Amino acid sequence: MVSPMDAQVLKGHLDSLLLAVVAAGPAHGYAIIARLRDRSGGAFDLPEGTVYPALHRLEASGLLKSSWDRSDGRRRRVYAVTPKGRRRLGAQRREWQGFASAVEAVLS
Amino acid sequence: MSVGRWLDAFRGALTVRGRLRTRILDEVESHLLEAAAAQPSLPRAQAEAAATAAFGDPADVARGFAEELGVRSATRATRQAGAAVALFAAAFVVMGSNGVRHAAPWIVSSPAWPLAFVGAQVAAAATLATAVRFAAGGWPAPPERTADVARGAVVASTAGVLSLGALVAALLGHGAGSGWSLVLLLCAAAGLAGSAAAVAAALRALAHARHLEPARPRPFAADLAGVLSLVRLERAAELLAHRPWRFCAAFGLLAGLVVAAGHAIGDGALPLRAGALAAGAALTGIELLAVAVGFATLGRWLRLWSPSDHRA
Repeated sequence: MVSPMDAQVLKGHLDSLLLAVVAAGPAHGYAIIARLRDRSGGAFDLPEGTVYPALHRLEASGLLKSSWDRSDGRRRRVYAVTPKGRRRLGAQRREWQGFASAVEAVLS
Repeated sequence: MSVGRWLDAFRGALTVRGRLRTRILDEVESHLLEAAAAQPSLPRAQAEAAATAAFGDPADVARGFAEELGVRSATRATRQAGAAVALFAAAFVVMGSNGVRHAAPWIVSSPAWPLAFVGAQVAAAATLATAVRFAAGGWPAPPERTADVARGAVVASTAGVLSLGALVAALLGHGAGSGWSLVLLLCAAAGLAGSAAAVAAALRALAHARHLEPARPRPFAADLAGVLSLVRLERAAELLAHRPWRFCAAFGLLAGLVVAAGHAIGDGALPLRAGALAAGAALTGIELLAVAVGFATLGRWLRLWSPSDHRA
C-alpha cells in the first residue's frame, strides 16, 4: 500500500481523478471513493466528505449527470459521465501524459 | 459519533437551502449508512463511528459545500450583473449617440437626472472594481473572494437599475415615443431582469460566504497594485499599494476630467475659453467630491478600503 498523499496536493487533481473513476462505469458516491482508494493503492485516501462537493461541481459543469437509484432496499445517487465529461477527460489525460513525460525525462 | 448525531451537526452547519439541501442530506445519509453496513464484523455503534470518522468533520464538509456553491453563485451573479451593466451601458450609448442633452433636454432638467447620472457612475465603478478583483484573483474567483465579487455584483446591478429606472421614469413622465426611447425601454426591461437574477445569485453567494470569510480580507489596493504591475505600471502600483484614498483621489480626478471634457465637447465649448475652463474645473471638483462620498460610504461595504489597510 502506498502512503496517503497530502489532501491539498490531491485537491488540484481531484476533478480529473473523479472523472476517470466514474468513466469506468456509473457509480454512487461511496463506490466512487472506494474505487479511487483501490485504484490508487490506498494513496488517495481522502476524508470521504470532501468528494461530494467536487461531484456536485462536476455535475453543475455538465461533466457528470446523476439520478437516484434504488437497489438492495437502499436509495443511492448514481453518477455517470456525460459526453462533455468524456471529452474533458480525454483532454486532461493528454495534458497529464505530456506533463508526466516531461517530468520523467528531466528526473530520470 | 453516531450517524444520527453526525447528521444533526451537519444540518446545523449546512448553508444550502431548498431542494438541493434535501438532496445533499439524503445523499450523505445514504453514504454513511452504506459505510456502516460495510463493516458487519463491528458492533453497530462502532461501525457508525468508523463511518462518520472517515467522512470527516460535519463543519468541514458543510464548509466544502459552502465554498463550492458560493463560488458557483458568485460566478453566476457576476455573469448576470455583467450582462445587465452591458445593457445599461448600451442604453446610455443609444442616448449619447442621439445627443440626448440637445434632442431631449427635458431628461437633463428632470429631477430624476442626478440619480441616473450618479447611479450610472456607481455601477461603472463597482463593475471596474470587480473586474480588478478577477484580474488579480483569476476566474472563477477563489472561495475567499466570493463575498467581494458578490458585493460588486449587488452594487453594480442595483445602481444600474436605479440609474436606468430614473431615466425611464423621466421618459414615461414626458411621454416621449421616439425610436431610441423604445430601445431605452427594451434595454431597461432586459437589464432589470438580469439585475434581479444577479442580485438573487449574489445574495445566495453572500449567504454561503458568511462561513468562508477570511480572517483578513485581501485589500483592494493590493489587487489593484497587482493588476497595474501586470500591465507594467509599477510606479503607479507603488503609489497606490495599501493607499486606497490615493486611488480614490486619482479615480475621482480622472472621472471629473472625463465628465468635464464630455460637457465641453457636448456644449461646443472648444476651443476652451476662461468661462469654459472655470465650468470644467467646477465639474471636476463636484465629481471628485461625489467619488469621495461614494468611496467613503459604499467603498467600505465593497471592501475597496477598510480601517485595517493603514496598518498593513
